[in-house]
Amino acid sequence: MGNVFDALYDVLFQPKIAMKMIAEQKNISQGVIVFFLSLVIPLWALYFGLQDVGMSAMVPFIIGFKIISSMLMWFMGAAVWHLIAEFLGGRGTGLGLFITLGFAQFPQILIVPLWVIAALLPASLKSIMMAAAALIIFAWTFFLTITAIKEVYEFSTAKAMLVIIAPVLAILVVGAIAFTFIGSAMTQMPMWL
Amino acid sequence: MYKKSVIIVIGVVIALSLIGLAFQGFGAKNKGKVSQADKIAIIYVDGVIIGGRGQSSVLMEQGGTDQIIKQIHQARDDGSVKAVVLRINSPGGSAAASQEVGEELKKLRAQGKVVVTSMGDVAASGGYWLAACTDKIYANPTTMTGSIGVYMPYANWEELYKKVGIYQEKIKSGPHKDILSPERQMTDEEREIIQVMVDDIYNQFVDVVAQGRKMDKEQVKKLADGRIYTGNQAKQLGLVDELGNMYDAIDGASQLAGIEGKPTIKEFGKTSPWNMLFGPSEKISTLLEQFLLQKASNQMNLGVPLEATPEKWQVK
Repeated sequence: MGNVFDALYDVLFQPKIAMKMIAEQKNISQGVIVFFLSLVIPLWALYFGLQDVGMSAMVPFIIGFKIISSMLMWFMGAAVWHLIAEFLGGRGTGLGLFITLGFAQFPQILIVPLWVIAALLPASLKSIMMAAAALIIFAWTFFLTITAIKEVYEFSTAKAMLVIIAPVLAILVVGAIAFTFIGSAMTQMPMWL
Repeated sequence: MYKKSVIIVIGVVIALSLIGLAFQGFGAKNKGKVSQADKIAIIYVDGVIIGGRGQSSVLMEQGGTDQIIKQIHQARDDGSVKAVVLRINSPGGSAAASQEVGEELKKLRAQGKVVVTSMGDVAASGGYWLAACTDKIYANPTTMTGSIGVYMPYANWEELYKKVGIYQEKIKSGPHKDILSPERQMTDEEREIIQVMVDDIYNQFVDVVAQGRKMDKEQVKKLADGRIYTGNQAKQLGLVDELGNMYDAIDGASQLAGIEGKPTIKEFGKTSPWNMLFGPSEKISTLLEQFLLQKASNQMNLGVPLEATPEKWQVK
């Protein structure tokens, strides 16, 4: 896996091997380039999508928010998942996970041709095709994220899943507790019709 | 080498797709500038009617009557908009928010614009308040509407708090400052205070319906016991003018506004990419959930229906 083209091919078609190699090589510049391509190219599609549905005024806000939130998610996701993986006995490095997570976003660029195909379909099939494309890409990215954690920390699939969902579980538990007890502070209720 | 070729092919496909999308967006932009003729605006009232700006996220904005009022103002200021169809799909909401939108609808009518309601799955309670402020109401025969009434939800978690071991202390400026607090039983005096408020808002609601539907106040009160009606029943009772769907409402608005030929439609409100993908089915399920939730909470407030309780629990 000499260059970035080989790495990208392997991410799409041999993800297990690819993630292991990427984690070992720790080529951060490649990771950053792939992440930004995977972020910016779908945003281009989103830009035209937003204009198409009359949300031009919101474009700078949405795109700006998407860029910032994606980067924060990348940095913080890598940090939090690395911490959890270490708690669970993983031996990988945070940098390895960070770079593999950047590569794991690569399938997102495929949303562009899929949406173009969907746009050419009859109206009745358009929404279904777009939803299906979004779901496929989401599932693919999720699968690559699991593979990345598995290969970086030499975990089983179940353990890698646990690493991913642990922050969500923690938020749910805290939310449930907060929901129960903050209710006592809600003394002013509006009238309902 | 073949790996590089595959990635280059994928890159070319993506580049061509981006160019395709750019042209598609350009076409859509041009398509939007077709006509300057008389227009009918469609304003959607979806979900629980609640005041403020609602919840805003990256891909969508939900709830909050500020958006609806802004759209009403846009329709008012657009000279080409001759009529507005208010498409209501709402189980109700807060009294103040409904009143606020209702008053804006009245002002819109006062400026000479025709306002027609089209009821979707549900246009009950606060949704009906808005409908009553329009010139004409269309409902599907199976639409759920009515529910003219007011309630104030109150949950008493005293027993739960005792079990968990929470004892809340309060330093109050007045005896009723913590009225409706969930950690203690409401007093009779407080119940009376709330009841007076509920009755006041109920009377305001009845006035709006009586005025909007040109009905006698006593006649409205007979119908306004909080029950829901089908569109069919509502038509027979005079709460609805015509049975029909949104397109019938558009035709009706067109006739009332004196628009000749097929009217140009201008839809207000945002359609987010998320809604575009998952909108219709999600919207329906959410509405039904909200409606059932509201009805369920009504039931909970009143207690379990008598017939459903064991005989020994029933108060004779």
